[in-house]
Amino acid sequence: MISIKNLNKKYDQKVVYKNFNIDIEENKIVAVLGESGSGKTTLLNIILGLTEFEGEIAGIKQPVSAIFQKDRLIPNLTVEENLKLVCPNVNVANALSSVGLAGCENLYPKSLSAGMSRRVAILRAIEYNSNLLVMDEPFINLDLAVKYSVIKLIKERQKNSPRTIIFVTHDIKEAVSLAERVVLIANGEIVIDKLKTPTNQEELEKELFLSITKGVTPT
Amino acid sequence: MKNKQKAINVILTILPFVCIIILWAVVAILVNNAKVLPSMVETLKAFVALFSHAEFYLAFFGTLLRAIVAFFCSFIITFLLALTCKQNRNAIKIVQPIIALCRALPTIAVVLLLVIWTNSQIAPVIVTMLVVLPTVFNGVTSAFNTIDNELIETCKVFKVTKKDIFKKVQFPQIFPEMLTVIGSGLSLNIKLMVAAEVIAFTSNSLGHYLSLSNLYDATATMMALVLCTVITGLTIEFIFNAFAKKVGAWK
Repeated sequence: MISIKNLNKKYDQKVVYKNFNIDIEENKIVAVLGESGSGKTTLLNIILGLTEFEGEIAGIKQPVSAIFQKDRLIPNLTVEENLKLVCPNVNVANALSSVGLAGCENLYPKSLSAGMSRRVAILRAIEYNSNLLVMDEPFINLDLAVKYSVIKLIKERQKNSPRTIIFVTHDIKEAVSLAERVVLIANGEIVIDKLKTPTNQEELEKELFLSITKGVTPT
Repeated sequence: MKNKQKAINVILTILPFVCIIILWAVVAILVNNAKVLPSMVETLKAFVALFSHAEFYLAFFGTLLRAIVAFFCSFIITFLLALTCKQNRNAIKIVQPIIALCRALPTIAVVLLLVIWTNSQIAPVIVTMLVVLPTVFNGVTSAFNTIDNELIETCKVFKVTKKDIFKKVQFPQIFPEMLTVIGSGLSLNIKLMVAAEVIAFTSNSLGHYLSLSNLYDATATMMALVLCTVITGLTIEFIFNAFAKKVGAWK
């Protein structure tokens, strides 16, 4: 179990987290929602060890893989080389065809569209044999059909070889579709923390929507 | 459309040279004195004649060798300095004054002093190395800055080995920039080397050849030597730029 205790983090004068606590069960998929600036990416960076913080984190088992907000593909390497750099034993042709990128092995990142580049970044992270997968808005730039085929792929992989997955998103449907537990953060505190069950999906979506849009008057 | 743009680019590249040639021809006609400004034909004759003298080859390759040695000494020093600055933020505070000092060096005075302290063969090498150092340092530093730190961070998350990070990420990203720095640096070095050789009176050098031509009022030969220096510099720059473009095709 990943256990974060008494997490404190601030940027200059802005306090992002004050005595924040969360436990994340092993091999579960957890979605973290929250408005922009609520500290979602900061939380992921803290888990990845990329940001300094005060507090305790325990239970992170290496190796860890990540999908960052930017694709972060190596520009001087082809798609195949990018995948092989991280996962030397991957069957590139099979992996690429699983996300609809068959035949793109020899393309450089500059020749990929935003959606194609995103899929390569996703592939790199899910093919990497890790105990923890951290994803920061993983499905941006993906059209609806591709997004749900990638979600399906992640679910299949999770079924065959489970690992802890923590992902950040703004999309309620995306969160509820993939995650087993949904956490909503606001002002550095957990506002909603619920497990998804086969019967509560709609209710959960509604609750998240109302909580996120609270105080926002539609015109 | 693409071919038209290509043709425009070629014309725009050639245009300045054509303008210089026309200006040269017009001024040569107006001056009408080969000792002051030889015509293009006379210069070209002198240029061709250079290649029939064995001393010219000795001078040319002597200068080229000194320029290459000076440049690579300068390049290795700046590479190490830039690498140190990249890894340690405080190092730049020590390096900056050294670079500023090199930039402020009075070239001619330093050559004369170095001739006293060393000899006419070594003095131009040291002075060229020092004078070109700030330019090369800026080039190498900006090449280092082309490395995206987020990519290195990503590699570290995925436990890519340090060797692979250097070999497959850092080196290929700085290599095209380095080639451009080497091309322009070498070109600049040849020009500076000839000037330093004139002052130091270095034997077996283009500078020495230029000094002798000046003594004998052989203006056409002087112009031919200038032309030779310019062509050598431009050729080196062109070759390195083309190579940089090829290895940076992924950009």
